[in-house]
Order: sequence, then C-alpha cells, then structure tokens
Amino acid sequence: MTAGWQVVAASAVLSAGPLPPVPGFAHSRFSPLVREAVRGCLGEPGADALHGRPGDRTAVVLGTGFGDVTTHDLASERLANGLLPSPLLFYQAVPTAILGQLCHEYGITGPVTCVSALGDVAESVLPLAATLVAVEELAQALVIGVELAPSPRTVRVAAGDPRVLLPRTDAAVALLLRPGAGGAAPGGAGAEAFGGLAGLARLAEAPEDAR
Amino acid sequence: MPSDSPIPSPRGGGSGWGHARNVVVTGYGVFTAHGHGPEALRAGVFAGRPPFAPVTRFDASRFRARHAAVYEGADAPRDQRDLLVACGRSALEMAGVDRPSALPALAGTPGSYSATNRFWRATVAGEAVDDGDLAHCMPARLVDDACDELGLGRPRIAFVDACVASTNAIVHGCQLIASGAVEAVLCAGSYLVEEEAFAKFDSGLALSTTGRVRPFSRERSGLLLGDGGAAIVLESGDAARARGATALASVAGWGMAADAHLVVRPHPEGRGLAAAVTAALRRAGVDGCQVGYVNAHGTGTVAGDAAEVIGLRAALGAGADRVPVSSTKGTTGHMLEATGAVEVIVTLLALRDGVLPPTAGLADADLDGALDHVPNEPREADVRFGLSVNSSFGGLNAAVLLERAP
Repeated sequence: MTAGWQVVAASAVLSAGPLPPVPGFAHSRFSPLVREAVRGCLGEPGADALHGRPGDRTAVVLGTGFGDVTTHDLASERLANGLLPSPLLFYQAVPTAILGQLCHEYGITGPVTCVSALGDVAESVLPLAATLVAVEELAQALVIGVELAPSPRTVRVAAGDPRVLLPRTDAAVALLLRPGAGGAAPGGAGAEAFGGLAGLARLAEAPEDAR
Repeated sequence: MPSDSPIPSPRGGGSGWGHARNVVVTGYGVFTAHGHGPEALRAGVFAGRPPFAPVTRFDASRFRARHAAVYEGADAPRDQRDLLVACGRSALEMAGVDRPSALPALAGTPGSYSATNRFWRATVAGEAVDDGDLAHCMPARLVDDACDELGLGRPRIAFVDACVASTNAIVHGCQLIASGAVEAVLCAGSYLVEEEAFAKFDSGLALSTTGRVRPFSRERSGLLLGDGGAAIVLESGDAARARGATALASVAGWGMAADAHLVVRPHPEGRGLAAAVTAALRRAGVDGCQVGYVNAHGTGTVAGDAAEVIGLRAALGAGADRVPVSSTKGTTGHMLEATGAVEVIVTLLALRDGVLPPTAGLADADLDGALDHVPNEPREADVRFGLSVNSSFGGLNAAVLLERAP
C-alpha cells in the first residue's frame, strides 16, 4: 500500500555524542538513541505529547537492519571468551524492550511492532504503518528507524551485500505520521549519512510544505 | 461491504465466511522438538508429552539450567534458513500455490544468534569467518535468503518483536489481505535453540532449573527454550474460492495492543493482552463465551502466567471460567520468535481435529477456577472459535482468532 503522510512531528539524530541514559538499560547506545529520537519528535512525556490523539489509537513501528548490535556482540564476545553474559543484556537484547519503556512513558497502548529491513528501511516500515493505521482505523503512527554505527560484524555483512546500508555513525529517526496527501520528500540533503534510514531522514528533514 | 473496500468493518453475526475480504488459511508447515508436520504435533503436543532433555547442541554445563526442547532427528534443519524453507515449502504445497512469486512473505525471527556467536568465536581465536553464515545474523537477510529459495515475492519483512514476532507477522498478513493490497501472503516464524539466547535467558534467571515447564501451576518456576518453526498461507476467501483451494479455517479476528507498563513485567491485570483479545473478538463480532479454546502464551513464569489469567478473564467476560485454556509450552518449550506461528497452527489443528491439547505438568493451578484449564490429557471438544495469544518483553501483546471451516 502506498500512502501519503502528514508529518506531525519529526526528529533525526546522527551523532556519536553523549546521550541521556535510560534507566534499566546499559552498555549499549541503541535504546538511549531510540529514546533521544522519540524525545526530539514528541517532546517530554506530558499532556499533549501525542498531539491530541489518544494512546490507544497510536501505533508504533520500529525499523532497523541489525537491531542492538552492541548488546548482542557484548554477550557473544563474553561467551567466546568463556564468560557469562550480564543479566542486563538479557533484558535489553530485543527492540521491544525500549518500545515498552516508551509506551509506558507516553501512554501508548495501540499496536506496536518492530521489523528488520534490507535496503531503505522507509520502504518497509512506511507501507507497513500505512496498512496498520488504515485497517485498524488508528489516528497516527510513531515510526522509528534506528541503526548503530558500523561495527566489525555489520561492516563485514555490508561488504558482501549492497542492500545492507550502514549509517556513518549512530543514527535514529522518529516521525509522528498521520494519513495525508504528502508525497515523496525532496529535502534532507545530508540524509545519505543515515544509511538505510535515509528515506526516513529525508521525510524528517523535508520542509514542512513538502511533506 | 464491497470487495475493494480498504477497511473491513466488524462483521457481526460471528462468522467471517460470507465476508468479501475475509482471510482464510489454505496451507501450513510446522516443526517443533517433536519433529516435522502435524502428525508430530499430534503425537507430542496433543498427547501432552514433554520433550525436554539435557542440551547437547552446545556445552550447557556452565549454566544454571541445562534443559531445552531440541529435535535431534536425522531430518533436523541445519539452521533457520533451512527451517523456514522446509515449513514454507510444506505450506505452499498444502495450499496448492503454483505461483509463489505472487506472495509477499512476513516472518518472525531473531536472525541467527549462532552466526553472531561463531563470528566472535572465530574472531577471538583468530580464525577465518564464514561470511555466508554471518549474513544470517541480520534477520532481514535470513528471511530474504529463505524467500529466494522458495521463490516468494515481495515485500519480504522480518519481524523482530521477540515473543510476538510471528504472531505480529500473521496479524500483518491479515491486514494486508483485509486492506485489499494482496490476495495471499506467506507468514512464518523460526527459532532454533542456541547458546546465545540460552545464556541470556539463563543469566536473567528466566529458565526453569527443574527440567520441566509447568504453565499456570503454583509451582511454576520459569520457561525452557524449544526449537520451533511454522509457515502459514493466508488468502482472501475470494482468491481461495476462485482457484478451488480448500480453506482450512478462517482468521475471524486479530488484535495487537501494548501494556504501557514495565519492560520486564507484564501489566498485573494483563491490560494489553485483554485489549488485544477484545480487538480480535470485536473484529469477528464474537462474544468471549463463544470461544471454545484458548491457546495461551503461558510460558511458566510467575508474573506472566498470573497476568495472563487475569487478562483473559477480563476479555472473555462472564463465561471465562467455562472457556477451555491450555498452554502448550510444556510440550514445545518457548520457541521465542516462532512461538506465535506454531501456536496458531496448534489452535488450527484443535479446531479441525476436535481435540484440545493439554497443559503438561499442570497439577495445582494457580488462581484455580479462573479458567477451564485442560491439564495433562487431551480433551475432545467441538470448537468453532479458537484463540491464540502471545506477549513479549516490553508488554507487546497479540491475538489471533480462528474460526473452523464449515
């Protein structure tokens, strides 16, 4: 399904700089990165963070290529060295963990899902979100893209497959979208640095009248 | 409602069979620790036979828990790609699909943790890395390779939302068909027991150390992991009729909802699970008391099972204590991203065979009387509507309501 979107709010993060920690999450920048993008998009949790729409009519769709590479590599490297993984790595290993935290903070009780995509993540998550919003008669979708900076493992996979697009450094995009008449967004000249998140970054950075 | 309507309204009357955009199941493939196919399910899961044994696939001696549900037959899949291909091929053959390139594919998988593990073992040891193997650490790439082998079409999406991944894949498959975007889709899930997830669950004290899983029992002490894979062909009723395919069941309703509570504990009243079930019932136009079987998530954890019982009672309503419920994780283990797809097929078989699979190891039910548990032995039942529910870390919940073929 193709659909136009009204971009109600947006945020794009491309940074290796410090991120506010998320209580209960450690060692990896994946979950703090997701929350930073969502904070930039929705603002601090509060009365109108969802822009006047109820939490049970808001969907969340997260797209990524590899997920939390740091957490998986930390656990795996410890095992390879004869050590046991930290219990914290168990709790945060799946992307549903940080989405659960964000749903709690923002009072989102609608459908939530996470996917791994080849190529431009936008091409997978935007049609998925459009179908979800249309069929379930929802008001809006919080669409998130996240990819950690290249690591030895992901660089190796990307070297063998041109469809695996890595960002220049840690990258995340959050968009609050509603069905609308918008088309392809021409903006976001620096979007290529977002790798597989470039399509989402363009949508986030496009001029308001182009969305 | 016209067949080209993008949004189906709740059907009313409790039946999806006459609906223009209803979703039907026309084929499936399934694999668990009992082996491949429905007969293995009947002999293992429906007979209430726990398959747990000490793990030999890797060295588990340094972990608290030692057991898992692992299939070691000669026809065991080598990896998740093989597993998805085997289940997908069975599903396509059963459905009689002669042009798989027309079908998008939606599959729940964590990707290959084993590939990540082998990468790090090779790196630490200074040995060569197998790049073909490593690529499958990326869930999307794993699914894409399996789809290439099966000749499937696009989009191809890997769902990575933990224990609701393949349930969400099925729900999204239904949404694609209901929207009119596609006529048929292959939905799937896969997980094979490996050291990486085993170590993480063990470190989180989530695994049972007794060698058994006892969902809903007062003495439940945790889950155990299990091999699992499944694929299911979903089609619009019109498309299935047009090509003369046999509809095995209808997907009468579905729902997804979030707890908005805590990351590692479900809402104590099962709020998200109740909302997902309520959405599924509403879409189908079915009352809770019409549900003849619930395949519960029931992992055997203390907080999860208690919340699920309360959530199911809330969603099913006044007659909840008369609705038969079982968790089949005592006979499959927890198959993580594959669990929803496998359990939808268990529910499908229950409707078609008129037999309910039991909760193995259930002796002294916690919150006794809250639900009509099916303990230890299969039960014959004439069931029209069967519900399968799953929940994940982060409080995501999904429900799929099947209606037996007339």
